[in-house]
Amino acid sequence: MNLSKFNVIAAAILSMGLAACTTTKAPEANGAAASAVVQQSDADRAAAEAAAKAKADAARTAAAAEAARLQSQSLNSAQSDAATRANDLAASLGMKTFYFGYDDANLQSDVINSLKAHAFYLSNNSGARVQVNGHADERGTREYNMALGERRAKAVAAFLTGNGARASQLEVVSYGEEKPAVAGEGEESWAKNRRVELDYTAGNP
Amino acid sequence: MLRFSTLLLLLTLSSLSRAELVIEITRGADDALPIAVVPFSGTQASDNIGSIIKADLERSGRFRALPDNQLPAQPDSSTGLNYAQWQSIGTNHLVVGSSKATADGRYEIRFELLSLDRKTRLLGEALTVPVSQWRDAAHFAADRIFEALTGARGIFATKILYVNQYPHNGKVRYRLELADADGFRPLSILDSPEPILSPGWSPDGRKVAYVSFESGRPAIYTQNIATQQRTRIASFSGLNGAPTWSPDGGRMALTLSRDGNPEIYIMDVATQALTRVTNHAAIDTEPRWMPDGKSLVFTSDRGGTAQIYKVSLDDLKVKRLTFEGNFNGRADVSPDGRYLALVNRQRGQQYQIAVQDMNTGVMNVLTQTPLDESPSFAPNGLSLVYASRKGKYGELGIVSLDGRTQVRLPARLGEVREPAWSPYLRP
Repeated sequence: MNLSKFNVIAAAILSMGLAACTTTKAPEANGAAASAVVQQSDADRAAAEAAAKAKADAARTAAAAEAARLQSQSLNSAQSDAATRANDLAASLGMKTFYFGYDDANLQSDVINSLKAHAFYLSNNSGARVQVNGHADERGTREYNMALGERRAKAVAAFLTGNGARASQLEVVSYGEEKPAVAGEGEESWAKNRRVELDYTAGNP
Repeated sequence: MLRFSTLLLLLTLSSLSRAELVIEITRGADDALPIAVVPFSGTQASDNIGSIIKADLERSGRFRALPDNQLPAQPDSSTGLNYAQWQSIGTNHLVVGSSKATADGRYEIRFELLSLDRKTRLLGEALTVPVSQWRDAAHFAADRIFEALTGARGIFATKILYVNQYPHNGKVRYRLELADADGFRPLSILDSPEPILSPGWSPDGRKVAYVSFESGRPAIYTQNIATQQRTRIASFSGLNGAPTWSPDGGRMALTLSRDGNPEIYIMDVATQALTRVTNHAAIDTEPRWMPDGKSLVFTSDRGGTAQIYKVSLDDLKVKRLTFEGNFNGRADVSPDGRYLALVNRQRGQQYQIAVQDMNTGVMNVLTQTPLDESPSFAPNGLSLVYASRKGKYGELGIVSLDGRTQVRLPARLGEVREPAWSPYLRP
């Protein structure tokens, strides 16, 4: 099918967005800087948002393509449960956030099917790239949480490569406790912040 | 005839009048020394010098200042002082002084510290400063008074570096700021839409190091405060974190995961050459130097929970230092090397600031709030600044080493965290 074409388009759109992002980045201040503050302008963020929007658009396009591919696959198949499996796969790929226990980087049993689907998708789409972002809740110290977020992201990345994804498709980044999904104290908030998010930067399923 | 020594402050930071942090003394030591500080006479460029000195001394927890309305008189020098008038107020020490505008637009500030029972002058000094150093002059005087009466060097003329997360056009932004130790005169030195963390000072107080996510990934930068010149010193694959200068300023300890998992490395600042210090499959991070520069303390979960360990740089031998509680992290070492300040979690789910005496191993929990972190010793080792949380907002706190004096420093905008107390700064 022509999914690879869509991936190329998606990658092209995305790289345009990224290029815009990098070219508008304020240069690092040097000794001659007159400004009292090293200012990283909102233009950075605007560019990042443009990139994110392009990425989302690309993601929708790619998702439509994948659905079409899966559908045609299931139509072409003689097996009666192929359509069901395709729907399951699509649903599994829809899950992109995976939660963890306190000070823990072990994968929970309920995320295994979804991670296998992502690994399968990545192995079948060599152009797809995913940033594996690790996060921690606010308890504990910040650099320890940075390490803990990385440990979680690496646990997910290892599972993906162990199930068919190539290491070159994955990039691990830990944000520690610096980018909580939800604000506020309490286990309800903390549980939502101890997470790994898959962020497709190319070939979003 | 009085003889004044004349001093000139050479600080280069610009002055801002608005206080970013608000000081609130929540707990004072009950044996604080009574003192009377008379408002200074003469032209005052902004807040009265006497008021700034008084607030400094009270904030230390070591002094209890007489309210202005209980002062029996308003002298501005020891010349002709009526000592009898001061016998009944219950204090043995009196601070008086004056300010005068000079012909070249600066201010000459004189201050004296008097012993009322001995009827003698303990200090008598003068400084001439530009208006931009008005508060520096007051903090300098407070430092001199503090040292004369306690024997310990004062820290009122030092600064605190911290991260301010603030809302801007519906988004979150991050600022790296430094402010006077009383929270006044905040100065932003970096402003970014992406997180900034782990700021720390060079031992000469001229540079800071920090982690910034401005590239989308963590990288370590150093920045000269006066010139704003920045250098990216580490942007390896994986973690680049927890930078901390060696006491001699020539090396930087940091955390990298470029070789697989978080390990502690030492970078030669001049050559950027790296030496790996730890080698363990567990998390090793948050290094801090012992004052002699021969070993590091760091956080590791190699024993199953996060605890503080010490590694000797000679033989790389590792020794566990903390045993109380199921989390001990982000240690800071007191300037004399005797105490470890750290984030401690006991069974009750609370993260509090504790101090461990390295001679005895005894740990003393200093704070009562549940999510405290990032303790940083004042350069005189008598108190710590740390990050705390009030409701949804991060704020700073200062606590004395004995836990008896506490001060809150909430932010006026957004929240503040990750404080780092400066070393002693020049005059």
